Amino acid sequence: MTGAAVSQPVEQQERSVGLWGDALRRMRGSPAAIIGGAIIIFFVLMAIFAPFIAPYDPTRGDLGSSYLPPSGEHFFGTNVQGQDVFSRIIFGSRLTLGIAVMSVTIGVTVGSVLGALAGYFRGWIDATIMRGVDIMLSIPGLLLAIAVVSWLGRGAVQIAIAIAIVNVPIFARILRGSLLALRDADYVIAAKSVGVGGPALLLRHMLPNAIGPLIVQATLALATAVVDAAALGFLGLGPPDPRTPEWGAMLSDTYRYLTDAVHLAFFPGIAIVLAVLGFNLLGDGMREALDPKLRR
Amino acid sequence: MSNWRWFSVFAVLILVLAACGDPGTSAAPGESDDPPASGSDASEPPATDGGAGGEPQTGGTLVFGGAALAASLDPALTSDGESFRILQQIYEPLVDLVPGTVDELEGVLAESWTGEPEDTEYVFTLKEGVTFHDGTPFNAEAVKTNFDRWQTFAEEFQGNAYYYGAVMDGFGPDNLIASVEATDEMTVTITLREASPTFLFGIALTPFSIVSPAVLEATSADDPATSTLGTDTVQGGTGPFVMEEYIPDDSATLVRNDDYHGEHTAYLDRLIIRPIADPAARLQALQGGSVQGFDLIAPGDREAVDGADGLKLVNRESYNTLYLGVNPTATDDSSLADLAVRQAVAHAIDREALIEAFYGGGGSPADIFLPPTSGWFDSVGEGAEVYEYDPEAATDLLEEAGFDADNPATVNFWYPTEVTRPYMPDPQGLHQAVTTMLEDAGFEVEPGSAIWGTEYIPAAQNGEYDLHFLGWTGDFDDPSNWYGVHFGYAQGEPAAQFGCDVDGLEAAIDEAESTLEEEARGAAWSEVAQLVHNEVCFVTLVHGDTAIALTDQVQGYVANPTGSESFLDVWLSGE
Repeated sequence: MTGAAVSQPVEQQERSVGLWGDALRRMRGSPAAIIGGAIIIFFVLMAIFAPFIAPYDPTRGDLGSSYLPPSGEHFFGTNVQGQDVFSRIIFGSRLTLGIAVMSVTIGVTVGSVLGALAGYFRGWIDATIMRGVDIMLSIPGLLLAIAVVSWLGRGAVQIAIAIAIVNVPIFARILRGSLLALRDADYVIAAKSVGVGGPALLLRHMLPNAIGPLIVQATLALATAVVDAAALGFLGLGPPDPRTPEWGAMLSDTYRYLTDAVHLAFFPGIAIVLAVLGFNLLGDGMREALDPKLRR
Repeated sequence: MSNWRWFSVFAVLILVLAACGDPGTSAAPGESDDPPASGSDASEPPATDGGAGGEPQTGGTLVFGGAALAASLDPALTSDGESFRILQQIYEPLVDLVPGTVDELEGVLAESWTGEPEDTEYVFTLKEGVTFHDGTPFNAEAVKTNFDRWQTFAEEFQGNAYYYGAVMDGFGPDNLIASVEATDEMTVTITLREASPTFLFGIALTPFSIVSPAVLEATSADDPATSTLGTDTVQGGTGPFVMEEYIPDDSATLVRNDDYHGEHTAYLDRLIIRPIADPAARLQALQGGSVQGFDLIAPGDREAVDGADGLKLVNRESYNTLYLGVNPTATDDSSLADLAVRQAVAHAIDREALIEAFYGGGGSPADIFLPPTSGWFDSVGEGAEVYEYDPEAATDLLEEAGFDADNPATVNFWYPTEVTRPYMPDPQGLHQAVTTMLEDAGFEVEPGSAIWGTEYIPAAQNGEYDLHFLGWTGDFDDPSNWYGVHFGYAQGEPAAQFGCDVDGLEAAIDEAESTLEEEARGAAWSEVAQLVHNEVCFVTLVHGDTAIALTDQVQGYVANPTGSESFLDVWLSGE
């Protein structure tokens, strides 16, 4: 962590390609990152262009055409409501990705602020924040999310907040850990010795170098957020209008009809698996790309 | 590491490809399964005919899957079908419904009786030569002991003795029962305080089963603190089976009563009832062979059993109704205050499509609240408005009421979560479908859901929802148990659940409740039905059938609309 990090961001900022350029270059060499990224781009495009791709309105159903098997007309078949499963999966990506991104953004923001305060100031601030973090980490994540959703009510934003709350302590702890490791780094001591202090030291010298693990964790957290959102949907805590396409809710809607139509559970299941796989591969690739020890 | 990753990616790709292929291939066998299945159907009728025509065989053990075991082993303290399923094999009431009906009575422990709905005195002539499983002789004193016990139930018991309270109008010396006299060894005279058309049907329920006085004494059944009748395996009944072993949460083992007083003793040597809460697990138990039959199949699984080799389905006609509560007073300025809008709701719903999609075809559209299995169906249904599915008429009605696409009629519409009922197999799915139908007619629907027991029922009964799903399973066959329970006024106020305050409804219900002669009673309740249906206080939707799944070996099972059956006539055919 020491030698390479010292030379890169502080003194040679103009000349070097920078953290991101370097990371991107290295990720291009990692098959995992490429495949993961491709899957995620695929889902993002799907979410953006959902109205153009989806052949049917995902919320409109015709009971007369329920349980149709996959065919040229309905690629993934229809569910009990006669809604087109293919269209629902496409539109479902909007909700799922939206919840994932929103929850991780909130989680990273709040978590980083808490982690930075704890890691920079130490003392009683650190102790207070970290004990709070310990308490939250001791509660199983999904259980905490369920409790938050029951408290806030049902809805996409509420779900995002619930998952964010689960993530906050993780991010806080990671950033604090990174900052603690950097306190005694040569370039930090050097900056201090020339009189840099306070927020400038934290924001300009320490944070940029501590942010790598956070990014990796954020990418991986997107994967868990997808699973958590699906789990909440499966448990009936998804969006209040049951017609809203949501992958987890699509799974739980089908279990009563599983013996009649396996495809109903299969396709949303595969969508969840693929999205999670994509974020995980991307996260792994990023971890390698951002790890200075592995830099060639 | 990197190689392993490539492998996992490859594996996922394979999975995806398999996914694309899978539905096609799985659909194909599904379809090709059908012809052999119908082929086996074709060979099945002779088999069942042979079975039905052939002599019932004695012997064998039947393992049957219910949803739960008994709430209590004291029949008087039970009120649910799962308890009845076990206890009615062991205990018997004076009279019972003829199997398969809800409105015909036959004597069980009573040989005969006199008394009409408008009478206050009933004289039961008891069956000779009946002994309880513990050897105590059955006689008029035993009947009196039981009736007296129920009437004087300690307060701790009264909550669980729901049916006694409901049928006899509470407990204690001031309830419906004026006296129960053992006029001689084998004659019981029951005098009521006032005529009750539901009395005879009431005492046909399992909670009115007669328990051996000696066993009541031995288990100190009248003392809530020390009674063991509800928990111990006792020999206190007169039924075709004797309780051999009862393991809570595991099984109830019953063996044949060789001294049974009926025309024949039970054919089964042994009947074991296992509790399996999840319908899917019950089906797996049947398919895996660990049970030979189970009750309450999930509607979605009907086809899986009906078409399968070696399995069969016994449909149980429903004695229940799903309805859509329509409450014009739930919100201020509700669009539902206009009769035309309420009629639009009724016309917007395609009940046949709901039955096809959610009941596996096992149900019938509910024209009126009472199911067709009811003996009152024709007389009470006379004249009540039936709203056919007609979305255009619904749209026209909405326009007539001043609503259109720019200014839609807005309603909130609620469904319960964490529950299924025979009349409501998939509340959320039904809600989605009906929401879509209402929107097609031009409504704007705000969906809502709440947890069944703790939130939904109280809120619905307080009249907090514009539209809501709820249903009813009849306790005994009388229109008061349907229309009276739901629309009866309390202190001049209409039932809050529906906010249905129609001119003349209160008087019509009072009139109907007090009319006893059968024909006049039907006509009086028909007046009530016309008022609530014509004013669309609710929209009756579906009578949901339930079904029992059995292996082909199980013969003689007759389904009762009331929900639980005697195994007296059930037998197992040879391999």
